[in-house]
Amino acid sequence: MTHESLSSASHRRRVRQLLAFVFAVFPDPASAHLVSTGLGPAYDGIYHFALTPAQIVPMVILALFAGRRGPAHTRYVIFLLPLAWLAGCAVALPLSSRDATLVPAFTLLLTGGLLASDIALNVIVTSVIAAFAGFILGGVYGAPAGGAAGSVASAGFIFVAMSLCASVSLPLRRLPAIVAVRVAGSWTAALGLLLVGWFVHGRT
Amino acid sequence: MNRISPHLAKLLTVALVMFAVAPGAEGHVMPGEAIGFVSGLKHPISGLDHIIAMVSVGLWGAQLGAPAIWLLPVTFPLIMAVGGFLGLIGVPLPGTEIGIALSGILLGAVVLLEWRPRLYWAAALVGVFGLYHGHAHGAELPPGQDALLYSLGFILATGFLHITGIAIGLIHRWKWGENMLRVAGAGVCACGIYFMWQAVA
Repeated sequence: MTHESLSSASHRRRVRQLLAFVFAVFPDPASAHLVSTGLGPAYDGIYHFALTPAQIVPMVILALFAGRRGPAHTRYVIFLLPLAWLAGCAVALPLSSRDATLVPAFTLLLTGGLLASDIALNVIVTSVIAAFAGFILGGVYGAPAGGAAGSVASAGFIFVAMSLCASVSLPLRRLPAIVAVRVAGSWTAALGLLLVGWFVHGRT
Repeated sequence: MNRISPHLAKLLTVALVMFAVAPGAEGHVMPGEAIGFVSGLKHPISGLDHIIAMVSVGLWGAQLGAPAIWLLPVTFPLIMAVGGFLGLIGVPLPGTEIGIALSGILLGAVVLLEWRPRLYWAAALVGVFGLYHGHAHGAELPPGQDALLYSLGFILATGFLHITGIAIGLIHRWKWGENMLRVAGAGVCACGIYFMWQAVA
């Protein structure tokens, strides 16, 4: 073997070692997967849900509204909405991504309007609204991460989160606290209205 | 057999390493693009004409006391969203800049004079100006990647400007605070006159 070929082989080896080192030190995070916590499908599902404010905000607002209306409304809403959300996940509504943007817009407008107006609804009406909101949010967003286990875990997470939110507004008696909750409702309704505007703006 | 020269081999190695560790390009995110929550949060606080009007609503609400103290900040973001909606869908609103400047003048004047109209008049005045401010924002909104997060930041920033006004307005309970609020109202009014001069010049 000549000196030249030995040098070339040594150089190639050094290049390979350098590249291996570079790839090991500067790995780029994989972006192909939706979310991966590394803790299993249940946590992946919860993580995916928690990263979707379009689902979380209307649910939180609806829980606050149910809390304002009293224990009976709260009980129905916190059980019905996660179940309807699961049913929506199973059905998976066939909406285009463009039309799907209307879902958070109208759910935010509806739930924000309810909370801002502090309207006294019948418990059946509140339950129907909760079931409807849960079903369409689940149907549009669902839980692609984690499969069935992710969906069930997310539904459990929704139940706990909504119970906590309702427990905030349920005991409110002082006017400033009630006003703060209603202001949150008005801001949410405003958010929904702007989203409808975005939707129409994108269409024109 | 043709061999690669050592010099070229080094250059190729450097190029390969740079290619392997290349970070994501961020040069395409332009200022003002509706890329998310933070840009939405920045939008309402990027213009003094908007800031003084929204803070003045809080100041006036604090001067008027309950229920105006919470009704006005509830009314303004909602009507502003209606204005934003109209601006987004392209419905024209004539004299937007004049309306915004007028909001500074009149809201400053009502704080200066501590005017106490009936609640519905106060809500109507605030609502009309909310429409103008919202329309200006809606018409200016750039194409975005995440409308929800942008709008969320936008609404929160507006709301927090009102809360800032209310928080400042709470000094109204003291005599010196009343005077300070009137001085602040005069300042807002002066800014409004300046913006009006700019709008018609």
